[in-house]
Amino acid sequence: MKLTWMLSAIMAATLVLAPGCSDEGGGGTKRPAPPAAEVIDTSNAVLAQKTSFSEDDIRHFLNRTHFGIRQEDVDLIQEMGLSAYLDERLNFHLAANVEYTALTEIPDQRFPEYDDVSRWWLHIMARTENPLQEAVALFWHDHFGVSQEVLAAQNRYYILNFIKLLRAGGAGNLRDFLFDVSTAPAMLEFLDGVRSPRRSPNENFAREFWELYTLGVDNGYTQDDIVEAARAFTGFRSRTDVPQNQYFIEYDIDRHDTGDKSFFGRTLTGRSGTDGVNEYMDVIDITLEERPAAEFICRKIFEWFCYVNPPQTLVDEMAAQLRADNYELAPLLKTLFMSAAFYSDEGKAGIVKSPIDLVIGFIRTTELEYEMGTISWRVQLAGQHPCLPPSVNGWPTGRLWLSADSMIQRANALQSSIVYRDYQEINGFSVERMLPPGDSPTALGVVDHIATLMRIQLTNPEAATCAQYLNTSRDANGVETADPFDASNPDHVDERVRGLLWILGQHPSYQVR
Amino acid sequence: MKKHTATDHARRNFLRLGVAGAAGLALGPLFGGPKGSEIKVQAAPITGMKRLIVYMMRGGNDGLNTLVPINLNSYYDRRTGLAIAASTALDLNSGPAATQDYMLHPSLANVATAYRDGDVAFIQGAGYPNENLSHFTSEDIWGYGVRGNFSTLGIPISGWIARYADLYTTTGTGVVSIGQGRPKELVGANTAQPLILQDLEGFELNPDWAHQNNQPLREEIVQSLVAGRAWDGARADAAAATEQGYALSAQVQAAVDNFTSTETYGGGRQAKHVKGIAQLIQAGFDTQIFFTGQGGFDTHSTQSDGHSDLLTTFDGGLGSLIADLKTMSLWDDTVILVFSEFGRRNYVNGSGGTDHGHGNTMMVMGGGVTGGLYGPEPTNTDLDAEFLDYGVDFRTVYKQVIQNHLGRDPSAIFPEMQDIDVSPGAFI
Repeated sequence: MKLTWMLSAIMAATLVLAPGCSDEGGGGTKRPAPPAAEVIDTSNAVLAQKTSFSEDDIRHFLNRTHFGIRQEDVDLIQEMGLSAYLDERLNFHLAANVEYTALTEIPDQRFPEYDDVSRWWLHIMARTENPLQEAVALFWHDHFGVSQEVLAAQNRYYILNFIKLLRAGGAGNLRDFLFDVSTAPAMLEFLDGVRSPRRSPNENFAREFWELYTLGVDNGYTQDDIVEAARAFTGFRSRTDVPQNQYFIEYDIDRHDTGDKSFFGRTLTGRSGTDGVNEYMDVIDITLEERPAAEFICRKIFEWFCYVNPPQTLVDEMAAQLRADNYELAPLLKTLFMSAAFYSDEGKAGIVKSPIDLVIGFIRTTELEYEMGTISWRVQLAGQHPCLPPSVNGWPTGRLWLSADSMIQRANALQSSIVYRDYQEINGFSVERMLPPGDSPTALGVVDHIATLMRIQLTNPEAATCAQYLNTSRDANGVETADPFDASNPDHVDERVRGLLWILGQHPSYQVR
Repeated sequence: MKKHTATDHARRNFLRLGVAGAAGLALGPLFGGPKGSEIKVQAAPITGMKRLIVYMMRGGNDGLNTLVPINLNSYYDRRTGLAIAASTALDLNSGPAATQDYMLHPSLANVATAYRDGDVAFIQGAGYPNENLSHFTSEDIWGYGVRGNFSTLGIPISGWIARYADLYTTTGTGVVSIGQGRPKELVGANTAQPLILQDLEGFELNPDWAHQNNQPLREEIVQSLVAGRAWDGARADAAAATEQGYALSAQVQAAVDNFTSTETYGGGRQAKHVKGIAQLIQAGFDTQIFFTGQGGFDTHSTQSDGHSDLLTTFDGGLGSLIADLKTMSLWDDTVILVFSEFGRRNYVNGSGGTDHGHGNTMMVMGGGVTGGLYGPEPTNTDLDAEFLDYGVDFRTVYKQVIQNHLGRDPSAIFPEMQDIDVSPGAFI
């Protein structure tokens, strides 16, 4: 059987989806049409809560927030109900066993090597039972774009603690979270908080605090405001523990400007002694009270998990809830993940996956894990090295993830999943989990099953091409012969199913979540 | 050997697809750029176009030990054990730009030759106002080409080469970076998508080594899936990028395989990056700006040997590149610009090295460059201070190269320039 006919068949078929018809969720023509969407009035209350969720909705939710889909997670949510599931999974304080096993990636936690923390976090992402926690933490890692680039062997442990903080606090109280992040050693080092004595306050953190973390560019603050806030942020400094050969950060009450500060039409009454550090919280409170910080952060959360450029009314609704909940993030996230907007056509239209979304998602869905140092290297080549965002503003996202080079690197990152057979055997991972249940599945049945798990909708010709691939062997001279796929033949599974996964991993629909 | 087999298969099959019409060699802009601007990579260098090669010495190159002020007593007084003796340094006292006041570090034989040919401009005191001693911050300033805040300028964060690419390139290969991670210079492009490679050889699809017979089949199917329907939204962007990735990687691998040169480039990883530039040029890439560089210049301790090795690596690659450009008759149309995020202190520290400094020496080379010395020349008094202050805004150098060499209006690329223009005078 030659490939030529397949290619021409595909080229002849140009599929145009009807408006309102989701481009996701099916795996071929045999799948019944998805049930009609529930009728909800989205004209005003776009955060209106859905009360029932189709299987397609659940797959969309997982794909968007869990680094890909696992069938057991689909089953679990159908059993528990999404509401109860979210109540359980938005509690980030339940340390999973993986927290401890992942520490094998950091031989010496006092002195992490350059790539240790990245490997440690990728290990957690790949194996955790609660990927929602890591997906939320990755959002905050992008939002607070702190990079370990400014750290050295003596203080690289700051970034480990910083990532732990993002993971623990990502669905906690926003007010507390802002305080913890602002005073974290990694942040103090990164944005010069430790180089900001009262006689010459450094404006770096004050500016980014409003520009990037709470308000947005030029959104309601002036240079004079920045100067005042910078005074409130004075006091920290870096010290060296000589015997330990480590740096650490302390609050030095003599470096803090104890005078009153004035911005946003408010006066911040100066604090002295160790109480001075609470001026960080004063600035946070005044910002939250006087400026649309809740709106700014809600918009970013929405755009990360749902779609870009939401209507302002929707953002206002989220912000109102955040304020009403006293800045608790978990209820806000739950509302978002159960909202009509999240499951609307726009909500399902697709956001470009980052390299970590793609690679960790592929690994979680297929179980084709590989060695963490190689994963870290691969996602770095594709443009996203954990702990090393390229700017204080995080990563350039959306279509900026996509380039000629990054697509080759994505394909190669997935190829590592395909070729690490020995590692997978030792760790008990098998590609057979990607086969549909039951005996003797057909090639088309395998294609359909895998496409569903990967949330790729294939056209009929595409599915036929993939099935044909499973039914074809090719010799060293490039001669192709018909050779029907046999799921009980380990060689077929090892070669062709893995190959199909690599092919579908490059499908345009798999580049979006 | 196996690797090449797979590559050859991939390339042959790619060409087959091209004939079938699923994907051609024509490379347009990645995201919705102007139509009709598609180019084909030809098998020979494009003539009649200007090229700029930007080379970063990462870590803070010691400019005083690069271009050595041999007549300044303070230089020798303050750098005991580290200063370059005139007896070992390389002469610059012949040719159209002859100088008796400076000599070159002994590792820079090719730079010295080019200087004597009148093809090198040294621009001393290059930097920016309110110097910052952090590698990280200073790299940002050089890379973005912005000293203040983007918010004040009202533009998104982006590198100066990215802004150039948005304005003046129309293909996916208009600006190319090799081996530098994701340099600040190239991030944040709005419409252009710079080609950012870690090395040319790595820009190639890896096969499933255990089952190579089917690898070409898999690659064909991916390309057919991508090209087989009209995508919309983010999927269209992904499809375009994949299509371009498959096409460009094949072209880059062909450039590597078909490259002919008698030059060695000094060997090693660094040499491959510089050689990669010559390979792409020779293969007919339409690249206007290349970016590459070399790390390790942060010589805080026992600097002498380390710095010599760094400059030897630099000079070896550079000499081969110049030779290949001359062989291709492109030297007159090429400018090589060398910079570092800052210079180093005027004096040797307690560890036989030097700490972070301010102003520094940039090098601009090319057949069209008016060789010589530009910018403020240091005096004994200057060297008795802690830092060499900046006297030339580095952006005026970039601006001049863009204006006079590349023939483009640089004003939109450096929007801050009006307030802080301190220029070294015309060198090209």
